Amino acid sequence: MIPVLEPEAVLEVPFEPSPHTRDRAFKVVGKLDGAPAPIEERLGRAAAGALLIWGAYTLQASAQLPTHTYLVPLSLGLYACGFFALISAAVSSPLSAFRRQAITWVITTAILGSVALNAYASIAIQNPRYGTDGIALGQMAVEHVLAGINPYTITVDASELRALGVPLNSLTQTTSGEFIPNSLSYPALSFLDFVPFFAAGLHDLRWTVLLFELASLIVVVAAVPWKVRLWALIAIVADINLSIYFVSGSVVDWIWVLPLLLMLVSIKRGKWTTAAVFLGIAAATKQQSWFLIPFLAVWLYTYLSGSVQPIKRMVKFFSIAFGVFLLPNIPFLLLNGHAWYASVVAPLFQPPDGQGLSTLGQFSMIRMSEATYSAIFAGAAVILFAGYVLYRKSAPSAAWILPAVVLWFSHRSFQSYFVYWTPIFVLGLALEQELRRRIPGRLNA
Amino acid sequence: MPRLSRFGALLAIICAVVVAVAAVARATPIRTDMAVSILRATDAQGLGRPNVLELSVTNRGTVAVQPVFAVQWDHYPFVWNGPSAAVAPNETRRVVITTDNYEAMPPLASGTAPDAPSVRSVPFVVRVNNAGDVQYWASAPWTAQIDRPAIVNGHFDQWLPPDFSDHGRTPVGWDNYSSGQLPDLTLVKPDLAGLALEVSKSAGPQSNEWGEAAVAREISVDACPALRVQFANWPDYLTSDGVLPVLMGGVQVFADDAPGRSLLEVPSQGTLRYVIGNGMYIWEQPPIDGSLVVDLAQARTLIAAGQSPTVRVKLFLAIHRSSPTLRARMAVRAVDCLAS
Repeated sequence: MIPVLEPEAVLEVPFEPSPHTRDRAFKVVGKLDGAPAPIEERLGRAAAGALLIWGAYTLQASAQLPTHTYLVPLSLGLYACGFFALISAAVSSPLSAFRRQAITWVITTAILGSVALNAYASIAIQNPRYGTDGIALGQMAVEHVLAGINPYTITVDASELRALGVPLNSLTQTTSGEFIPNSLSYPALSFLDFVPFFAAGLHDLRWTVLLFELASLIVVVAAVPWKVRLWALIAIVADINLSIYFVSGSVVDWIWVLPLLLMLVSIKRGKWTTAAVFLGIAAATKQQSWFLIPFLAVWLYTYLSGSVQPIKRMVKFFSIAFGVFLLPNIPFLLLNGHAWYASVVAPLFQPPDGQGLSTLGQFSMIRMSEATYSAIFAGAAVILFAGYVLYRKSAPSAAWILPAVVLWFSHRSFQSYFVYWTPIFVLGLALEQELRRRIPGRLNA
Repeated sequence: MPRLSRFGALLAIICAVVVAVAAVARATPIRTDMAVSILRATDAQGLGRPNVLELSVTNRGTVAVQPVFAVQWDHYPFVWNGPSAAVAPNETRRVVITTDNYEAMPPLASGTAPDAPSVRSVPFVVRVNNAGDVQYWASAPWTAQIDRPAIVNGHFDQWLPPDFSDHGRTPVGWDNYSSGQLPDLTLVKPDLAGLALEVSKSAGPQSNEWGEAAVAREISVDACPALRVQFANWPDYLTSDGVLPVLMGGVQVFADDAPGRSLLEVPSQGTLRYVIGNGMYIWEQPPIDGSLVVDLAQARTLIAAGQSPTVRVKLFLAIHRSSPTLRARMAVRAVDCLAS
């Protein structure tokens, strides 16, 4: 068998080398068993280095160092890792694949550490207060579940949310100027996810969200090919709102992102039942994940269409997911189905807000009726879905980001509705080829 | 029949959707139209932020509008209290809207000199909508210019929302200066009297040297040359050797341009004034009817703050690890500005 050399394993030999130089070059090749890292990889280290130095500085700036001196060595450690990443980017001599992977792992671990430390400082030191009504309602739901009370039947007064530290501007108000009747607006896993952590003593739910975020980032870096690992991680954590400030600001959305990431990893491994289970978990956590389902159906159909019984496989996949979605919700549906339904569809009936297209209306740049808002949202969804159906083969990974675009057209379109799709998109993109190969029954993907 | 290209198909779908949306928009026209402008902003509550706005509202539409008013300067609007009477078509009306909530008041712009007699808010707009409708009309951006109060929230009526910090809560207009670290508990709390400071100190050579619960704010000496601090209760002042304090609560005056120097006025049984080695002047003084008067102009001179226009005033309760008493509480009813 003839071994196949990867192009990067070829060492460039100087032009018209002397016999002496050529001998030495061959010795180097034999000793290092590698090649110079390609410029994309080195630029990835440089970008990571810059990010780490930013993280080190931001940690010092936000940590109130005189009273939190234990963060000083950690910040200096981030600086060291940042400079290491930058200097490693400058290395142009050949390195073995093992050493290159080791460098990538060191830098990746440092970035994860930087995210964890900065999120810690932002939660515990800079912003010790809840920032959304959603998380406060989640905490009250957890407390009610632990007390054996159906949280879908409670209506919380605004003052109770204020007592949990929610600022006034985070309380959702109606177009008549009243506070909405505050009740849960999400499926059951949105609060059941927190129950074991709360019972174990993590009473500030943001710590649990941070655990979900770190687990999500670890899933991404572990699943993607090592040559794109740094870029995949940077693409996610470079949005510091997504990686740091939304967590401390009490946005809990990492709890539905993690199961969708695990769904992709399961597909990559050919574990279709497990993937369906994770889709069901995500759907039972927050409604955003529901917007993936039409695009996922097209994505699945595209790749399963060359396999045996594609429709049957799809029906089985979504049936399992639906069953898993129902499982944690059934007790609350049985207890009070109307309360559950009213809660889950509540966001549909709240006034325009957020940062998407409806901003035009919020600041009176255009004026539209509620019906027009709904028509634009539905129309955008139709166009994007049709566009994906038409271009599914040339842009298959668009499935993982188009839900964010649909939500941008919604009358309620918060930044968190868009940016939490980034990790899913990045992982889907990085695994594009591997996901294709895992389609059952396909001979040649 | 020619086969439609993918792009052609998508274009056809986009056109169909645009036509459908236009039809919906045409079938549900907007019959309301408003104009709103801000005429005046004032600080009726002495909180150093605008909390009363005078507006002009004109209904330019064909149906009456029941206005809902909101003030906005960043991502999210705050609904303010306004008159609920409907504004008839073609009617122009002057209305006054108010809020009692500190968070709903536009904050001050940075960069104003701390001793300036007036302050400017950040730019904000007033948004109006007809109750129940999703159409909004916004005023032009406005910057409020208000008089700077000599002292803010001196009776501790308003508090920021609670949080998960280790130092309790923070009254509006003040900073929480508590510095104790676990296992010491150093808390600031709302109290029936006004404000309460609580310290529970751990002993032993390994523990933190001091545990301190405190709130502070910057005060212009020209606007407020003296303060009356009214205590509800206070701890006995204790020293280790007749000079060095180990438990004390009272008022501390310091300034940014006189680092390391400060005056501590503490309620005590007798009158005694002395300075300890690290630049701290300690004045023991018996309260009169529970009150201490702090002469800020004199304090500024004493701590050699020169012509600094402002000083920081801190209400504090501090316990040293060597104190025989490791738990203490102090409550302050009010801090009032005295003209002279």
